Amino acid sequence: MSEHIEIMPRANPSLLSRREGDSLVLFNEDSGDPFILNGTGARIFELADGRRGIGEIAVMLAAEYDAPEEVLADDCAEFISMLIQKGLLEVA
Amino acid sequence: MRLSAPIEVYWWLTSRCNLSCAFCLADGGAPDPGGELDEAGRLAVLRGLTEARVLRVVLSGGEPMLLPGIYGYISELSRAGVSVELTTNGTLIDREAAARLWDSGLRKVQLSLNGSTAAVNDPLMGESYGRITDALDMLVRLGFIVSVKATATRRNMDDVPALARMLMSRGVVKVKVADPTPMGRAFTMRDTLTPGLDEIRSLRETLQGLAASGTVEFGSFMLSMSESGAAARCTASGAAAYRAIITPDGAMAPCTMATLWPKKLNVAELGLTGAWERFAEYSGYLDPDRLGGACGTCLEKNDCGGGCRPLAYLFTGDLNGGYSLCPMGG
Repeated sequence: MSEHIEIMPRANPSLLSRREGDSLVLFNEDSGDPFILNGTGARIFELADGRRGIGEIAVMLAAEYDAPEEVLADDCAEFISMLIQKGLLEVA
Repeated sequence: MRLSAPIEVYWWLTSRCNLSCAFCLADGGAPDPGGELDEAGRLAVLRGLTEARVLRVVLSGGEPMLLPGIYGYISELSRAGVSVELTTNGTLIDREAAARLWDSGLRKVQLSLNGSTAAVNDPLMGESYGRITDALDMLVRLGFIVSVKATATRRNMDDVPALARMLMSRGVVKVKVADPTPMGRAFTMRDTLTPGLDEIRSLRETLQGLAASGTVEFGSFMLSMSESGAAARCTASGAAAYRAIITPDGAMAPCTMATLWPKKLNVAELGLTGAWERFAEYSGYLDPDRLGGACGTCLEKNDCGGGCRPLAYLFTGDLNGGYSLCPMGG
């Protein structure tokens, strides 16, 4: 497992959201941009509540999806980094 | 993924208006426009919006403050967790109305103002400058998040930078400057009102310094159409659609211009999700085999589908007519 700086990502408070099945529909009111996160992506977004680090999110995902934590940690960090870049998550 | 309902809805509640702006795309101001939903119809639309969990609703008109039910609509949407913005000319918002709007859950208001002085504004909007700026100052003081839409016409273009600076100094969070959308009176009066493309480009450059602040936004429908390099394929009603307009008669359309189309998917008849499910029918207008005029013989027609079809319809009166703004020469 690679080293990750332990950040506690959380949802951008100006986002609006609704569930559609396994997917999460997000809308950034400031930019007017819509986003749709499917299954695992939606779950990662929900677990990023500002109290969990990426490592803890990966552990929870590994348990829920019965997948190797080492692999998930890297994927999870990459995905969260992308969500931060798009302004969907922010770091306190 | 095709959404089960739109994310964002612009609901034109009425085309009745106490003003009669020279550039009004909704032809607002007629005392009895006819064909509009009654209160029961509006409540049915409201139910559709909340049940479908639409995330954001912009209430506009005409002048939505003319409807006695406006506070109830806002309250119902807010209680359901919908983010609501009210687009109004502001002239009917006194202290009591502002308090009722706040208590209904409203926080975001967009006003219209089109001149930094009454001498510039009032010839375009009718006598209203004092009432609008009074409402603006009061709403900002009460804590509302206030933005202002300014329409740049040939009559006020030179004043727009001064207007933007004045609005920023009064606490407006966003100043949205745009040229007239070519509909309603803006289309009828286009020869005297609509700036030329060179004039619009010049205004865009003038506003660039102010735009850097993040408060001033400039958008031009005509400029984006003419600068796209090739006619862009419209995606407003396709699989990635997420926004809808609902007009005063309850019809749902994919964009402002598409409200001109004769085809109507009516929310009052079909329900909100029912109309949304059939939204893709609007894409039928992009069928390259139906295109006529210069679009019909153009080699690019399979890629662009004929560009902005409502605009072609507006200028030619033919749903399959040539697209007059096409860079390929339609």
